[in-house]
Amino acid sequence: MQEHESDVLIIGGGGAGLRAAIAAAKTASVTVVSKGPLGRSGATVLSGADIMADGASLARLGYPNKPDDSPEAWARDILVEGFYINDENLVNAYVGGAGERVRELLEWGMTVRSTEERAVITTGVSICSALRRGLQEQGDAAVTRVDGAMIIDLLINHGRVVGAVGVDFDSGEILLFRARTVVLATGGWHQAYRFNAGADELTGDGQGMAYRAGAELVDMEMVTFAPNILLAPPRYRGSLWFYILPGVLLNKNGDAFMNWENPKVAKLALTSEWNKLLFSKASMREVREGRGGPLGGVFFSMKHLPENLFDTLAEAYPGWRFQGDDFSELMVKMRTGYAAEVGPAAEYFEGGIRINERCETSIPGLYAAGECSGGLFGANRVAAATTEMVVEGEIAGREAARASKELDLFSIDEAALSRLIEAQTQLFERKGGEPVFDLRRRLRNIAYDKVGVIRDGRGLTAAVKELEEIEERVQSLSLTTKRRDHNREWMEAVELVNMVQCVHLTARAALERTESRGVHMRDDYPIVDNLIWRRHLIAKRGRDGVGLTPISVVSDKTPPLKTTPYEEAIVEAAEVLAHRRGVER
Amino acid sequence: MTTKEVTVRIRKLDEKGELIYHEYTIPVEGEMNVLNALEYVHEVLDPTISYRSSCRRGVCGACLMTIDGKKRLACETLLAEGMEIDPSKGE
Repeated sequence: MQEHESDVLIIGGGGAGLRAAIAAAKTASVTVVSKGPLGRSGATVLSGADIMADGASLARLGYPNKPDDSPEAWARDILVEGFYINDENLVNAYVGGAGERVRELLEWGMTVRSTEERAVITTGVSICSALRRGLQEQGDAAVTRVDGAMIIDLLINHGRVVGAVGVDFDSGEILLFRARTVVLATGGWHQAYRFNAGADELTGDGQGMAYRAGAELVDMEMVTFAPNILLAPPRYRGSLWFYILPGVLLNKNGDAFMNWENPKVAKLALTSEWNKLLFSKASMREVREGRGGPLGGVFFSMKHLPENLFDTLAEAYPGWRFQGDDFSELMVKMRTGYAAEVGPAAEYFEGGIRINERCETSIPGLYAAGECSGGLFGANRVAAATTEMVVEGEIAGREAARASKELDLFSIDEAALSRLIEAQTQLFERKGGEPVFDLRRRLRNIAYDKVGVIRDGRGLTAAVKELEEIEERVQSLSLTTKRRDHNREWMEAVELVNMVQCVHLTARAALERTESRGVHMRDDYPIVDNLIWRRHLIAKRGRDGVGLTPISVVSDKTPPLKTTPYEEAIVEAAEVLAHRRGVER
Repeated sequence: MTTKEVTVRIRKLDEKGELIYHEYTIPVEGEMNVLNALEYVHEVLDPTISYRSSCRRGVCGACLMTIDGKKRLACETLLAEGMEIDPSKGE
């Protein structure tokens, strides 16, 4: 067993982990563990990417924006977008930190392609390069990198986090990390869904290990699906290509189904990330009512686009390349009227590990940052996740380093460590246990079909029952691959346990929340109920399984105290946001 | 979509720790890249093959491996009959 020791242990190698490392390395010794290479792992490299700050901050940085905007005005909009269940302390930290985080990214060389209201447009790759430069400025020896390793579980002693146990992919060796404080920056649980738009390592590891350690999770029912994601052919599955292109969504009868009755809703849908919620719900409505395609999606057509506009688009995407993909043959078909099957795919997780404005979780010494944390965006994220990543990453790294100075290195609970290692050994030695892939396939279908874009009590009840069964069965997985080194199946077994837990918590919370709000849409409760449900659902491991506790949102900014049909609530939100823009202009 | 088959050779560690090529036949439904093929083999035919992957979109570089003697990204290389895939030889 290889041992590492540092003041701060950071788990996750995307933007949040990297930003946390930069902050922590200023005052503490830091180890960063990442499944992929640090700064190229996770969702960050694939992000669009807009990075947001309030207009005044961007104007000060020299980008055309509204100078009379303010962090406070932006925060008010985020509450409307989140259907008023955001954690306001987190919102204030987000809007308050955004300007400075954007400024330093620019200083570290982030390139800007264009500007939008409250945003500069860059790429995920450029953000990652800038963050890597930011880390270099701390000196080469600033952090110990452990790439290609997966954390299996946190180590807790007397209620405090004291480190973590992992495994090195190449050698198969068990790794023991001792630390004074730990930052989780592990992203979402995209891979738990049949259709998703996330990187392969996004399997809810941080949420899973935090839950097992007894931490509180929050808003787990809130999952954003991105619409217009390619479902086929396999080489393009999961690509956001048609999410970014102008097109028309059709059902299997060829009928366009996105009809905007309210021009303000149309504006939201066409000019902001509200499009994710609006297009995904409408697409899934068609599928649920039998007007979907053979793969369970709808159809994306560009036939309406005049030839010359198609040419203009071709100039914007030379060789029809997007990210690393070459879409040229598909685009020849699109030009002649082909409609590609697309659908909503799991893309962002509003819920996650519950934190306060210092990114502290409910476990002393344990912090969380970025997408693996929950509560900031309430029931619907419209503002940028890239900003969340750097703002929370910086806070978590700084706070974890500061706290580490006041803490001794705590001893490890040797009995708990032995149990953990023994459980891993069992994966290899258990005869006739459960195979990983059958359960994973089942999980992905349940998650997408019953705990997905549109939900109802019947489906969720059935899902919970099935998920309980799967959760039971993943306790006795066994591996076909008997070698410990380079064992992908082993990693996937560990990931499966985390994904099942995340989906189970999503299903339980979604069943409990008998209303619709933001991305959580219940067909059997199509109302936003501000009389009862302006609440978070806190999930915590109890003696008899999942414990769910509703807690009221603390805020003096209150939504109308009434129940509103879901569709009307969206119209109301659109009108409030449009009115504010009008007034502030 | 026509269903056809493609046979490829994938290098993997055997129980003695030697890297040996094994042959696998994969049903093809629509255009597949090498990563899709590896996934199919790993999930359905032989869980003991191993490879690295992450973003699936040709950005992160995690699935760089040797395909027909050349270093390529599995997620951006179209699958073809008779390919020789060595996931152990990346960077």
